[in-house]
Order: sequence, then structure tokens, then C-alpha cells
Amino acid sequence: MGLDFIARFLFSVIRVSTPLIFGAVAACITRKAGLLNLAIESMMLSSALTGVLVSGATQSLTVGMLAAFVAAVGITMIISYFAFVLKCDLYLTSIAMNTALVGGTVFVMYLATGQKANTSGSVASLYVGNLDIPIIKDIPFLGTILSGHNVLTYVAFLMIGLAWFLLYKTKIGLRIRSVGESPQAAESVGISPRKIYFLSFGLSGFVAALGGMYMSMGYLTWFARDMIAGRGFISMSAMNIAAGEPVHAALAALMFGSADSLSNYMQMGNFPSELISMFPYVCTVILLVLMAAIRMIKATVDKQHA
Amino acid sequence: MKETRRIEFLFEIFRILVALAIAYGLTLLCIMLISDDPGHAVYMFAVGPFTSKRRLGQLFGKFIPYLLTGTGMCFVYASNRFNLIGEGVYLMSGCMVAFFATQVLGTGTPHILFILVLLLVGALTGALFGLIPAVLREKMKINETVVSIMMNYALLYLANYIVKTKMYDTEITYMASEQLPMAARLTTLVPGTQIHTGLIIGILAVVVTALIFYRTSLGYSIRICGSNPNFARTAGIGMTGSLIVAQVLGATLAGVGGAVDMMGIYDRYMWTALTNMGFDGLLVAVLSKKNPVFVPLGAFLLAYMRTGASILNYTTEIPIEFVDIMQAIIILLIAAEHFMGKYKEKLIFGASREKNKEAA
Repeated sequence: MGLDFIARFLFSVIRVSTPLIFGAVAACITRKAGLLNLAIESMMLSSALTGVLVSGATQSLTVGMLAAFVAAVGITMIISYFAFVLKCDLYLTSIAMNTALVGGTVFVMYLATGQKANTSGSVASLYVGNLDIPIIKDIPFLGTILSGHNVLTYVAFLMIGLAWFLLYKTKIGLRIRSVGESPQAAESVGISPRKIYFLSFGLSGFVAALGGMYMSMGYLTWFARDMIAGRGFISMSAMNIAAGEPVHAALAALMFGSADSLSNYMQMGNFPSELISMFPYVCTVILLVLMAAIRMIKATVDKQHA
Repeated sequence: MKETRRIEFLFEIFRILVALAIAYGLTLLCIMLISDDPGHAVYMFAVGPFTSKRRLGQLFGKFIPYLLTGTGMCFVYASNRFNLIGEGVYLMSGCMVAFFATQVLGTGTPHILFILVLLLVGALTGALFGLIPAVLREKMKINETVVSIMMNYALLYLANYIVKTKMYDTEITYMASEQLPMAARLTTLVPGTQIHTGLIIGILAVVVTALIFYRTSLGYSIRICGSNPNFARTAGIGMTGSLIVAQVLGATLAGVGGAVDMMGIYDRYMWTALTNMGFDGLLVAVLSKKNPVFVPLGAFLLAYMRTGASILNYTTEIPIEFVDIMQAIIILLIAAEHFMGKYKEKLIFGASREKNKEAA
């Protein structure tokens, strides 16, 4: 257990947490508009596949990334149309979209490459490189942890701040939050909740798209079937624990990420890694119960004082 | 008023048919576009499931668990709770059944007793885990969707853990439990097919659920709590109790479904990923419009589509995954209240205007 080992472990925590941070921030944006986003999974999947296929076909990273954004935001628009215009249950729409895309991405991958498992070897896709931060990389312990990550990892941390700024310091953010507080009240002052719902889903698709790109063009350099594997749901619960605050949600995402990399390390030993894999999920439920209990106690105390 | 109801009912059927037609049409179009031999592919998809006894048996092998998860999800969906615990419970119940069959009960147990005990194990597993999200939702107002999805993943890992540490068969190369004893397997009804006695259990579940839904006060209060909570509250219906019971019953049926599937089709427990059966159950409930009476129809339709797709998968080069897209289109179109809503309003409006004219 040297210092070096700890540094390498923390490095892998950040590496594993990156898609969770993107997802958590994406979930926060819709949560502030009062909507639970169960579709992060499908947004990430669509952008992961599109990024690989388009960057492989055009040999341009920019075009590939743009296409990935378009795909993920496109998915959010379909979901929004069904949920807010055709009045289909939002949860049902999101879950249906998730299953459709787990199969749909495999289907498209097969049509494009003839492969059903992954695109490695069949598509010469491009990927986002790593970044050594000039001065920090020479600091002994911190340098190993913080420097040399994928560019998108730094974007993820930037995104936390950006989302916070958007939600709390801009006019759009104020509108999103007011619709989240009370759609009727917002409507009475001329804000269309439906427009805000579309907007918040679109924005969250944009952020989640980066998470998908990180998975297939950074973390790995190919697309594999079902490669998001529940990460969208873990991000959503990170958001849930943090009640929609981007900074807290990112911290929760880091916590889940450490559980994930811990289980990777444990797999080498004899410890049952399944039990550690259970951690984020069980932890979410327990934390939600604790929070609800505190809320209930508070409510009774308030009632007694009133 | 009666006229409006009649139009609404007929219109619902019409809308479901249109949704199915759109999804089916898109699928056929897709097959034609990507297949080298479209005629053969379409034939395999549409007629394939009925071309041999084995394939028809395969269809029924899927149909049986759909009956159980479908009726289970009717309870959940009718109470207007988006509780997806059926997914995890299905898998966990299969795991528990395999555990009891291989580790606890001996091969000497008489067949009937063995089956009954295992069914009970499945049902209890379902009820027990189903209780958690239901109680958290109704007593503490914690979002049932989040809790149930989290629990599904937790149950998956827990089941994998149990297989790995308690009943892993070291003689085979993949991760699975030891073989279930013959006494723990459901009897095949039609030799050479996957049609087993689980069919009887499935039909029984549909009948009992339909009776509960439409002939008991519990069923009535579940439906009212789901469709009009404000009215239920004003009418003094005990919402908390009804809604918990509905969700637990749903999970119980999913648990029985997992048990029946395990004992009917498989010889060992080998689900190392989520089975998607809970979601398929939801799809059946959506197709049957939360009405248990129509569950057999919805279950049959889904089993037919899936069998067709799997036949297509091994007879042609078209991957099975396209059914997932088709399935989503069907769900979205059927569940979207406003899909063709203008047309419905026009019909109702027209009918009442006619009536007014007659009256005048």
C-alpha cells in the first residue's frame, strides 16, 4: 500500500467517475425543471455509437462529435415530443427508449459494420486524447492523480460549474427552476412549461452526449453492445441523493465511481466483487430512506411548533 | 354519455390496431430494405412461428411467463405506480428456486410437493422484495421508480453472488447453478415442445386477477386509486393499503413467473444479466390496457413477435435486436394519450351533435 498505489487508485476513480459526472449533471438539469430523467442511458448510448461511426466514416473528430451531439439531442426531442405533446407517461417513454436503443444501437452497428459485439477492428474511429497539465503533472502525488486524464474528464469538471452557472445565474436557469417549483405559477407569468421541458431535456441530452462520447472515444476507443450498462441509472441516483444540486451530485458520482473502481481492484483478490458492485444501488436506497426520514421528522417537529 | 363510452372503447381498439399496424409495417419495411431475400425473411418473421411444432412450442414457452408478469404488471400499472421491481424479482425468484431445488430440498421430495414448495418460494421472494419499494413509496413518499430500478441492479448482483458462492457447478465452463433435479421440473404437456404445466398456472393467474379486479372491493379500490386518486381520497378509500397491496401482488406474480420459467424451461439457473422480463410484462400490460382479461392476447402477441424475431435471427442474417425498436414504437403509440386524440374528439363531438339534432 504505497503512496503511489493510492495515487493510481484515485486516478482510476476519476477515470471511472467521468461518465457518471456527465450523467449526474445532465440529470440535474431536468430535475430542476421538475422532471426525473430516466433516459440518460439512451442518450449516452446513441451518442457513443454515433460518435464512433461518424468519426470513423469522415475521419474527422469534430464532425464525429457534432453528430454524437445531434444524435443524443435528437433522442431527447423524440422523448419530449411523446411525453409532452402526445402525453405519453414520461417514465414509460424513457424506459421504452432505453430498451429500444440497447437493441437499436446493436442493430445499427450490425448494419454499419456487420459486427454484433463491438466495433473494434471494423471501424477506424477517432478518439479524444489525454492531456498532461503543465505544472501540476510535476507535483509528485497530485500530479499522478490529476494530470494525464482524457480531455473529456476535464470537460466533465468544467460542466459541473457550467451547469451550476446556467441554473443559478442565468435567465434560462431561473425559468427552468421556476417551472420545476410550480408549472402553473410559471405559466401564469408567461413561461411555457412545455418549452422549458423541451429545453431542459435538450440541454441534458447535450451534457449526456459528452458522457457517451467519453465511453466510446476515450475510456474505450470502440463501441460495444450495451456499453453504458446502467451508468445512466447510477448517475440519476447520484442526482437524486443530491436533490438536483450539480456540485453535490458530482460528489455523489465520484463516490459511486470509487465503489466501481474498488470492485475492479477487488476482483483481482478473492473478495466477492458482486457485493461491491451492489454498493451504489443499495447505498442510494438507504440514503433516500434516510433523507425521507429526516424530512418526515422535520415535518412533525414543524407541526408541533406551529 | 353511453354513446361517448362506446366510441371511446371502439376507438381504443382501433388505436391499438393502428399502432400495431404502424410498428408491424415499419418492421416489414426494415426487413425488406436490409435483407437479400426479403420474401423469405418476411415469411420467416410473420409465419415462421407457426411452421413447426417445435417453433410453436417455443412461442408458448415465452407466452407462459408473459401471462404471469403481464398480469402482475396490470396490478402495478392500474394503480398508476411506475414500479419496475418485477424485473429484479423475476431473476431473484429464479435464483431462489434453483437454490432451494439444488441445495435445500433433496431429490427424494415427491414431485407435486416439490413444485408447490418452489412456487411458494418464488411467490414469497416476489412479495418480500416487492414490499420494499411499495412501502417506501406509500409510507415515505420515495419515488418508486428510482428505488425499484436500483433494487433491480442490486438483486442482479446479489443473485450472481449467490450462484457464485453457494451453488456454482464447477463441472461446466460457464457461470450457472447445479442442475435442477427432475422432480423440480414442470411436466411437459405436449411432448417435443416447451408447453409445460406452467400454462395452467398462468391461466389461473389471469382468471384470479380478473376476478380480483372486477369482482372485489380491493380490485375496485386499486383501479380507483390509480385512475382518480382525488376521488378515492374524497370517497374515503384507504389509498395507502390498496396501493401497497397492488404493488406487492404485482411483484408476487412476477416472482411466480420467474419460478415457473425456471422450472419449466431451464435445467439450471444461468441468468447473469437482467432478463428484461419485467419490462416485457409492462409491455403486455400496456398492450392489454391494464385489463387482465386481455392479458392473454397481449402476451400472445409479444411472444409471437419475439419468436418470429428469434427465428429470423437464426434463419437469416437479420439480427434479433430490431424487435426492441418495434416494441418501443408500439408502447409509445399505444400509451400516448393524444395520439390520434383529435380524431377521437371529432368522433365524439360529431355523435353528440347528431343526438342534439335528433332531440331538437
